[in-house]
Amino acid sequence: MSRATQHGRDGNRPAADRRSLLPPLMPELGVFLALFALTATSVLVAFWSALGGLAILACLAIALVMAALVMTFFMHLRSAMAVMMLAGLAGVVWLAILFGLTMADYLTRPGDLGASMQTPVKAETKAEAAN
Amino acid sequence: MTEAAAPSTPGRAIRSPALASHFHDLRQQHAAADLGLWIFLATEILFFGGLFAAYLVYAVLYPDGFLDAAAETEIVIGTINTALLLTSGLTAALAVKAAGAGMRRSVTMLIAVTIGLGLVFLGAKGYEYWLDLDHHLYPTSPEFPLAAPPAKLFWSLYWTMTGLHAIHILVGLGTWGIILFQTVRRSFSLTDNSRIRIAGLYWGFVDLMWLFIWPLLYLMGRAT
Amino acid sequence: MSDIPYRDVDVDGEKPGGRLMEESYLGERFSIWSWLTTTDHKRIGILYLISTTLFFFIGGAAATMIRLELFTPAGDLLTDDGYNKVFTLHGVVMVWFFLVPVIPSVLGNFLVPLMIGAKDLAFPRLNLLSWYLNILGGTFAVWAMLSGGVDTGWTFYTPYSTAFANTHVSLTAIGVFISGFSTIATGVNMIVTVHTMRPPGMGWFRMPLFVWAIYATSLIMLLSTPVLAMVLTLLVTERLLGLGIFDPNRGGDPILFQHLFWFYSHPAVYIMILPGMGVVTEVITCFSRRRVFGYAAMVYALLAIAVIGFFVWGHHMFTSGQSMYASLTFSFLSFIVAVPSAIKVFNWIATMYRGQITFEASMLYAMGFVGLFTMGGLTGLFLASVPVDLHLHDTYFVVAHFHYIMVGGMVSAFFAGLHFWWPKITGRLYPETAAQIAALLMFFGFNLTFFPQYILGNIGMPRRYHAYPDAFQVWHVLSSAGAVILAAAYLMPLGYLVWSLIWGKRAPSNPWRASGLEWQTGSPPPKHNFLANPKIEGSVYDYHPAQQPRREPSDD
Ligand code: HEM
Ligand SMILES: [Cu+2]
Repeated sequence: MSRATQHGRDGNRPAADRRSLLPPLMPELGVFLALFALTATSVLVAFWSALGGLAILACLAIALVMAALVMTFFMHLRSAMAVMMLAGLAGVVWLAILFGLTMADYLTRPGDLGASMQTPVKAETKAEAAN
Repeated sequence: MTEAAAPSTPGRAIRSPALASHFHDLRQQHAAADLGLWIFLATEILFFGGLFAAYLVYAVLYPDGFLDAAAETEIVIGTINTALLLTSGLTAALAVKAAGAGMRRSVTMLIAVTIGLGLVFLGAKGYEYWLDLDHHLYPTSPEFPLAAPPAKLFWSLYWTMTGLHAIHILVGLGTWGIILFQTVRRSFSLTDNSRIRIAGLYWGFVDLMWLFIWPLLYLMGRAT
Repeated sequence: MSDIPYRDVDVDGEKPGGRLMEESYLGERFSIWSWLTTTDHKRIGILYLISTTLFFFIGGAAATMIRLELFTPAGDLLTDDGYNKVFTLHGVVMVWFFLVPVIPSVLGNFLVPLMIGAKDLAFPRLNLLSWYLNILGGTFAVWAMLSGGVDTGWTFYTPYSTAFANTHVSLTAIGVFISGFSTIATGVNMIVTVHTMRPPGMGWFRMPLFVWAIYATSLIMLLSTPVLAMVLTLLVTERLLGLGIFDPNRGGDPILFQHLFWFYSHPAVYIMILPGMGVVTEVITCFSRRRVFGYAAMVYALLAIAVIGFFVWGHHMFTSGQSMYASLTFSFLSFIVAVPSAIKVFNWIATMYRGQITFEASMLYAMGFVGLFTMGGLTGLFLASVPVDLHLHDTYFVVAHFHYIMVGGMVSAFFAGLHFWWPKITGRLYPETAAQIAALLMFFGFNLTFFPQYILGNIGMPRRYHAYPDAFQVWHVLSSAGAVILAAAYLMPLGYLVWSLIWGKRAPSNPWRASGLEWQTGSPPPKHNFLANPKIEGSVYDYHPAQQPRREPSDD
């Protein structure tokens, strides 16, 4: 890496900038610290017994915030073209279609949720079917 | 794109050797590469989406079984891995930034750190798998410790989700490895070629998926 | 427009005179190796043409065995297992290795860059990779199905496919999985090309409708294929690793498999029809010498089909044990998706209305498409109604429904496009009369094969059985007889198109006097598509002579 001086030739940035070990750290470093804080919060929430089984929903909400931060800053969605955001958005919207219509079935099945499936009977297995 | 870092072509972005003959300028070429990768990421979202849909269905049908089963995962390793991935996300993002500025030294170092963190992630994951197998937490194991049948559904999902995620990490590491090699060899222009930005985007996505896998598999069922 | 540096492409082609001369993409270096490593979208289109034709004949051989078996009521030709394996082979090959890639990857590959005046697709190497993945996946699947066979049907339903089937399910699923990457690669390439490589002057609403159709198809490919990939992954991990999530013994729900599978496969049936719609629009406008009726409506209809197609998958699951509220919702949504399809049919007819129609072979195929697609679509509506479907589900009525669309529609459209652009692709003209006869024969043979199947279904013949009561035989015999005619009609083009390669007359650059940029370059086109900047002026479908402009109210 002793050839770093070579960079000084091209471009119009100050040579010192090119030779330095790291690019400007902000805003990525700030975002990183925020992500760490959110991770810690998420762990705390997960163990917070008052929430019981619903803690996972709070954790997922935090995950959404973290995901938004990662996309905006680490994946540079801030400076991306509109159509790229649209592409990412399409992925999420279609996921919602998949979840929504699938759950439309499971949530409206007759009887208690899961009742239609909770009685596993012994089924013939692959090995037995072989003959 | 105001400058070209490859010493041989100072300043003349349009004549850059990085420019493929069917594009008219680098701006168009970069836009195509970025858009292509974002579209690919949308397909990746839906790929994992099928798995998440399965998780959603069974977690709603069998909430208790899932809470019990999830309490058995190695939360410490899982959380350490979250921290590792977030850190590697930071170094990858900085590498992209440094590449945009043509800072080769900095890019080399940041990619190396990213790869290192990814390897540690995989190491931790491997250790975790070893512990899981030791606890017979494999759905076909005759000594599977959990009684409720849906626990096996959870553990099937656990192995599939983490396994597929690990494969994505491996692909990412391979990509970074090649790019690191090329960066050291100076075989491509940091500013004219899209590959570091592309790899950075992909790595960001791998991070992103983990951010959801982690609560679903590790944070579930702790509050009791 | 003039700022596109078309000229700086290829300096070796420059002749002393200064004018850029290029060999045609076919003429330049003719070694097998140069073809197998080509990144030229036109050559890759040809590679795809060869491979999909091959798969078509593999699938066709299986179909022949099915029809032979069904000639008599007794199951005498094939064993029960053998029959299951044959119809599975037929379905898997035809769906994933013929219908899905055929128009986007053959005609789309060849034409999209030409139609928008670009030099290539955005990612030429990815394009080549997609062909290799298709071949790899196809070889894998076909080999698995020929060596051991798979008996699950193309739908791979659980729990049969996971817990019981003792055949090469995993290998076949892996083959299909691999080909999914190929589909995604093509989809990414098309979308990025359309977004980033249109020259100035070609706005979104000046693109040919074929490009729009490929664009809409690519959207569906990208948003649905990953879910198929996942559901196949889950299938394989369940079979091979015991990581079962569809296993009823653990409380798993086999119907979840169907949800995920049809989230892909209903949209996939639109992957198998939208490109055909695009082809037919080009052909009908050309041979009616009319501007397309309702261009904007055609675009919105394509996009609407692409989007709404994702909301209806549950209509395949009315009898599966799905909640009845979900069934009603899916039924209602399925009726909605028919609206844009109908708009398209009306617009094709309105385009032909008062046109100066000539009946070239490709026009005959295209007109056949419109009729057969309408039949298929309307019977789809019958099936989308829950009570009717309870009667018709898993009968030959369903078989007839989707063959009207996929074979009557898509395969006709492919032949329409292949004939229409054959002079452009190869630089040769085929014998028109022979082609017309083949087109008519195909229409006739098709109806004779599949119309009886509607009746069979309605009187109770279930699908996927090879022995049946004597009462059904009449209809089965008619159907098998039709299949013979259909087979002849499919073999004819193979004969005269290959003949034309050697003895056909040389084609001028625009034999049909069609509009569209692809006709502004040579036949076959030069390596980099255009020698000079193509002229983008007027609207895409400018078929009226300039002195007597006739404007439609819906024009834009
Ligand atoms: C007008 C829009 C359409 C409607 C409302 C519709 C409706 C349906 C319904 C309700 C079924 C299920 C029948 C059953 O299994 O009982 C079905 C099956 C099928 N449809 Fe359609 N359809 C439409 C268009 C299409 C198109 C455009 C294609 C293909 C290009 C297609 C291909 C198929 C296939 C392959 C099946 C059978 C799948 C199987 O079980 O193997 N359909 N359709
Ligand atoms: Cu459908």
